[in-house]
Amino acid sequence: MSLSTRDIKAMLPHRFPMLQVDRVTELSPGRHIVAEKAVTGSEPCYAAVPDDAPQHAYAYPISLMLESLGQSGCLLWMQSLGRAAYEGRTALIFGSARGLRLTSRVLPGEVMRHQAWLTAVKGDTAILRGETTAAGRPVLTLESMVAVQRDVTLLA
Amino acid sequence: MSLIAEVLLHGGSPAPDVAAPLSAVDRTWTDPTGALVAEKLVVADDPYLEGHYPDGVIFPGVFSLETALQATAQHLRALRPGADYELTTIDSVRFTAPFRPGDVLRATIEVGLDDRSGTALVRCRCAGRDGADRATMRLRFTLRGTGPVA
Repeated sequence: MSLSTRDIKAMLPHRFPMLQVDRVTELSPGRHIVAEKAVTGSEPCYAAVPDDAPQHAYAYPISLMLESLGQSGCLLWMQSLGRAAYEGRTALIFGSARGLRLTSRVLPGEVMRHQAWLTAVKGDTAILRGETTAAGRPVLTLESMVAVQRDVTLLA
Repeated sequence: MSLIAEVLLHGGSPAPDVAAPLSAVDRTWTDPTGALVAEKLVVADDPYLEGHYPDGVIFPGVFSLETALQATAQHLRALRPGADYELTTIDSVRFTAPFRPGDVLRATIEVGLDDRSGTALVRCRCAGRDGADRATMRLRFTLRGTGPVA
């Protein structure tokens, strides 16, 4: 199955420009997701790059790549949580990550393709692993990340 | 001068010269143990924060990682002028409590350099005013062009 932008926005509270998933092209509920985020030079993170900067200065920030992969994993878990997620009562918190290995960086004009697998769910905690590519080229692998479910009314 | 007064007067640090979601370091100094300390005043009108979230701003956990990365890059340039390090691995990162607008994020960064292999191991703790850790991370850098990053 896939998710529309409206579906994504029903499940994640993140909005422009912090919503870091553009589309979900594959989703096996409770198991696996494929999500994409296009990188463009007209994003806020590129606003202050000096004109004489080398090409590597345009590498998409690691913090945003991790956020994008994390949001992809959350969508996989949210989709399996059902109505509570869609009704906005449940928020997912990024708790931790281990073993993120970078093998290449992503440049403007490229699309990050994230895969996440749900490896375990224990109560209000989910463990996932992830992998990102761009144009078929490995970008990063993530051994594990942990997300924790919270009742949204307790967050304020 | 307090950090808040400094940011109000001078507008915080200039933006980094590589792509970055925000300027995540306002000021830095070295503490008596030789560790680098970086501070960032969390403000609601920084880039990206309007979307995290529309109903109330929470400083994204990954932006405390951004503070660690920007401060470490600055510190490595000072420790090894002319050397160009890049991040290759995040061994671990843990977010235990959020920062909100008005909080001062204080990141304490310890760097272990191995010049033979051209690597830097970095431990970072991010705490609020009460000194309790809200984020911790262990990172590895290598000299650009020598590591696995293409």
